[in-house]
Amino acid sequence: MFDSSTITLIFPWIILGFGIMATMLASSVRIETRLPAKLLTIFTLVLVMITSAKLFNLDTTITINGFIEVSHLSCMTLFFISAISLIFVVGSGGYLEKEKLHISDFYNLVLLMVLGASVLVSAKDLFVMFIALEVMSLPAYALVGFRRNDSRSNEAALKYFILGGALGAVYLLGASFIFGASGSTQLSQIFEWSKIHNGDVLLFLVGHILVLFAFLFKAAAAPFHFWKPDVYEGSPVAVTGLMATVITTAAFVVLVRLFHMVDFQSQSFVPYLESLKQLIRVVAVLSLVVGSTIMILQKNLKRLLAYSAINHTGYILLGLLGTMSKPEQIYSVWFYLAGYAVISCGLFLLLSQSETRNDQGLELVDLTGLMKRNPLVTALASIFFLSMAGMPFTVGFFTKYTVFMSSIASGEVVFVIIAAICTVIGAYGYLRPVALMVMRDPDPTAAEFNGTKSNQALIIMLAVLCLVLGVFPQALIQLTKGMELIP
Amino acid sequence: MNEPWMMLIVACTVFLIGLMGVIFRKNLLIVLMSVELMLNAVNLSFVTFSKLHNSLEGHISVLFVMTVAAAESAVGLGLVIALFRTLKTADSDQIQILRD
Repeated sequence: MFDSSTITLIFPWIILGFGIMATMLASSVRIETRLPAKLLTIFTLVLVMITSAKLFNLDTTITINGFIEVSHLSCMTLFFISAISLIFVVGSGGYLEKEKLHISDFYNLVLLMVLGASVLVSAKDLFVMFIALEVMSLPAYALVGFRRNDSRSNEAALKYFILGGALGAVYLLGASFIFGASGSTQLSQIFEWSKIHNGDVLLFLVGHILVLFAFLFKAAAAPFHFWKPDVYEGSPVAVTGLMATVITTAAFVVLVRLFHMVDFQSQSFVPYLESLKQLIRVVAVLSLVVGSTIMILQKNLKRLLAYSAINHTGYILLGLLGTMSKPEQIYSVWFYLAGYAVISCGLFLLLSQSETRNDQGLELVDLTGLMKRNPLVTALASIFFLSMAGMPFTVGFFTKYTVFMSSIASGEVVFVIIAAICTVIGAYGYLRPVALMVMRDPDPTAAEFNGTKSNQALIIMLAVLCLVLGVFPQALIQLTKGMELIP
Repeated sequence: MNEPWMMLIVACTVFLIGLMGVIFRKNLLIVLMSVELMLNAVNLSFVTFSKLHNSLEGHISVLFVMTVAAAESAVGLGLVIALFRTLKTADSDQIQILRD
């Protein structure tokens, strides 16, 4: 049950736990001593990356007591999540300094959030998922409200908190219904139950819908998206970037697991599969349309990116739709998530360089004529915006392409056409800031972009990664093909 | 086997009362209390089902939910206090700086 080999399997999580305790101690000594906390955080994240890469090489698929799964999928996402947070921790020092937020508690909260996300992606039990969800969300609420004296940050945190708390309760109600119907909270046992069960499944279906509802909310799919722009706008840029990458990735991994919770070949669930597909279709199309059309009306850059995130959620759901009847297509979802995380990581790090004149956050007009004053930033920002739009020779093109192909393979041609139209509408929204930067004359009231050296280097690295993956996506696709979903 | 379903109805009613509180009440403290009410309703339903299945899983879940609820209310109260310091109000109608 719990011997020494199990300990080696859960090494990344143990290291994260110790790292959290160490940073907590460091911040309790003196809150201004930020260097030890920062170094400890970097050290912890690097160690987590190494250990999870080792587990990936071991080629194992083990479920520890039915709670935590150690597999290619969980190790790879864990590696990915810790790498992205490492980039943010290294790259946002200058931003935190500038905003006077640079205290060691920031690093502690980030590590806690990473712990929650990493348990979430490997959880195989509905209840472990809830605990991990809360461990991820509670630090996220605090991070969103990190600018304590700014009423906008406070408002965003409170909105996020109330909706997140209520949705946590909805998730739990669904989990309790599933527990009531199947007699277990472990996903593998629920899967076994769904194979042999025949008869009334109403209680289970209500529970399943509630659980899915909660995570569609966390992933901000369209009818449940309204909190996202407000939270994005109110929170500090570094935190928005972490939310767009770490929390989105974790939420989608859980969402995929929850969708594939039951055996759809089984007699009592065959009619349910069709209605579930219908649900995803509606949500995906709504996300695509709402995201792309409202995005082109936005003036604030962070709100624009929030609607763009909703739009991307639509594409990922489209990929998920393709996997409902062909589970081997699941790699398109992981590939999309990885590509999107790389792009938004770079873009948010770039935004954290900005120094605006007013306190209202970065508006689109702040980019006017940036080309003449700061060609490097313009080039980098253009690469990221064009990747988001899905231009060829950037990673955004191939992520969209694989998702479209996977849904065409399962016969969803109409929805792919709708998605293609939304891509065109969305492209206008992404090209607008690029055109503002390149075609206009410099504006004296526009924002300055000043980044630290580490920040600048990381952004250039991510931009190069965007372009390289846009020409040679095969390596990443091969990697994501290994991340199979095990019931 | 009548009693478990009666308990389930009670749990769902309490949950709905909590949900209505989150949606319709204006005072932020009442909203926080409503979230707690929702979590406690779920506790009731977990206990009911675990009685039905004769398993301990649901009972243990309740302890965890209570712990999480305590942590959540600590964070929530902190956020409400931070907001009250800057805006001098705890009325959700007057907190509308962020909008399209």
